[in-house]
Amino acid sequence: MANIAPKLPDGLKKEFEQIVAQYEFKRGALLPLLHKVQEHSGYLEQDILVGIAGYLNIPQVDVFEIATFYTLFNTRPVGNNVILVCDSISCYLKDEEKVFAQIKRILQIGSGETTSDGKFTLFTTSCIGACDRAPAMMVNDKTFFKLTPEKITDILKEY
Amino acid sequence: MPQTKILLKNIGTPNSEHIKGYLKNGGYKALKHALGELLPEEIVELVKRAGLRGRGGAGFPTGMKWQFCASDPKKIKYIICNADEGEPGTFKDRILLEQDPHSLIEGMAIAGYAIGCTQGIIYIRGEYIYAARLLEQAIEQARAKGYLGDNILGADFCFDIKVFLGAGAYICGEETALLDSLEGRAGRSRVKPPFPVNEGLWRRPTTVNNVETLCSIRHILLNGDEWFRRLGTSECPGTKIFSISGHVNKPGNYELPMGTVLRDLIYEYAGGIRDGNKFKAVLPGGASSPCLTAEHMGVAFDFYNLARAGSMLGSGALIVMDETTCMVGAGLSVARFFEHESCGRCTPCREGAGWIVNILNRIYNGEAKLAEIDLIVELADNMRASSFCPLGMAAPNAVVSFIKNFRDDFEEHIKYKRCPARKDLDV
Ligand SMILES: Cc1cc2nc3c(=O)[nH]c(=O)nc-3n(C[C@H](O)[C@H](O)[C@H](O)COP(=O)(O)O)c2cc1C
Ligand code: SF4
Repeated sequence: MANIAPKLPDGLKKEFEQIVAQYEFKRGALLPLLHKVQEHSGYLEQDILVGIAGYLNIPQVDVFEIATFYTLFNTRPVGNNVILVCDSISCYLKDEEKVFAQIKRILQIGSGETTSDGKFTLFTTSCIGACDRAPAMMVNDKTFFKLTPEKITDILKEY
Repeated sequence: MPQTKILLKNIGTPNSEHIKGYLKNGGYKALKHALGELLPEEIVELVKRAGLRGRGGAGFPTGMKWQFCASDPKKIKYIICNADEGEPGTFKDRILLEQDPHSLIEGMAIAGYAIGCTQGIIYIRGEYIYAARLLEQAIEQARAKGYLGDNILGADFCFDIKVFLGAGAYICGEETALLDSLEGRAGRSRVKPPFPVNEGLWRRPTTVNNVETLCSIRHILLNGDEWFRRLGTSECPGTKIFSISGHVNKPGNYELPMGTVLRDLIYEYAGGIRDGNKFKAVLPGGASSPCLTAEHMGVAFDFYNLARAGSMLGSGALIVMDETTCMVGAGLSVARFFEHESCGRCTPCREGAGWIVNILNRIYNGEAKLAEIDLIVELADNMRASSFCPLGMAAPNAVVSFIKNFRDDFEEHIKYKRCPARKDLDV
């Protein structure tokens, strides 16, 4: 693996201990720990992944794999707000492409990119279970439904 | 005809997500009945007699699964609720989780008692963070009232539930991949056997059940197996929540008896096709299922009848397409989903899913050769025959069914650089 000094996130020591204490087998705490780090710093830094591998006593390569396997984990810095636009079939049928194009136009970025002011990062995502109110997207933890290109302008203004 | 609301009955009533609202509607009566009057094996027998089949997609008889797990001699066992709900077009578990979480908690506690587990886990997809927080609160409320914890309702039964948040991976809805995810691994399906009921989470006997399955339990306990069997079809008793989306006037969740026919689902309940358009096709069981067409309006929606019609019920997610749908574009959307969600372990699925996207992209843009349409079908045969797990086997289902039924859409893209269905499309 890469030559990286292991590190644990500052200020999360207690939370880490509390999480691990809930698991009979320490490895079971891995996803919850990664969620906690991301909640705290927005993304998963390499040196912290190495630190977590040491903390749980599991191979570094496993932690790197998991951090990249699950799409909700960010392994690179993201903007203050993360937008996930559903591009699965039910949203596609309801003109998700027009909505997505509008977001790209307003923010001047493509999928996987962050605006220059660091405000937004944009991703497409698999079905988010909002198909009856398609097209839909999430901004951070909040879901927005029945989107139209017009609605997008107003929603983005809220952030 | 109104819907047959049993699971959805509390939805929309005041405070349905709170234990106060739930108790007002008769909540936790089934758990009281179970712990006070029934032996664990009597509950397993009751669920078996009711003929309940799993609502997560595979339709396995729930009582039988419980019996296998209960009879394993190992001591520590788990009951896990699969709340990963990732099949495109499915949004039925979301409504139960967000608006009736105590039904699930009660169902899990009853399952735990019947099987002999002290621990339940709800594996919920990361995108349902709102529901996950709500569940945490509901669990807290149930603990405070003594419906979870030690010696529940004074009985010799201890049971508690933990919520575990996924992180965005469709494959983790497959029960063995889900177990790997709970063990801090990338979610990849395990070889079966051994089955989870014998060697599941941490190699201990584990029952995995869908949200809707577990929410059905309390109704069976309160009303009996004969009542349940009177609903639905003889092969598949009970009601089913159908998630209907796409080009219908009234998309939504509809709870109806198993065996409701396609025509009624679309025209009587979902309000018919939008803009007075003609119906073109439906994916009856999410993006993994082969499509049905207008000739199938009379097909009864249950596990067996849909299999006989050449498709599958899956999670009960109907994705409806009207005459303006470009089947190449729709196929591409489905294909991209599977390319993205393939776990990457085995070649047929990982490579095949990518190839199909590649070819479909070129067909969509009018750049492919005609023979490549059949290349997709050939690739699909390979994926079905040699993929390691059901994801890869099902991945090409929709696309191949589109080619079979709407070959003109594909050919015209290539031959005439136009789409017969979507006149506005600039190929
Ligand atoms: C690729 C794939 C994805 C699946 N996703 C889900 C899911 O999101 N939710 C679910 O309950 N079952 C899902 N299943 C089915 C589960 O493997 C399993 O059969 C089910 O959770 C068992 O519960 P049940 O018997 O109550 O249906 C999926 C299966 C496969 C192959
Ligand atoms: S079929 Fe193979 S590559 Fe596809 S999800 Fe299953 S194991 Fe992974």
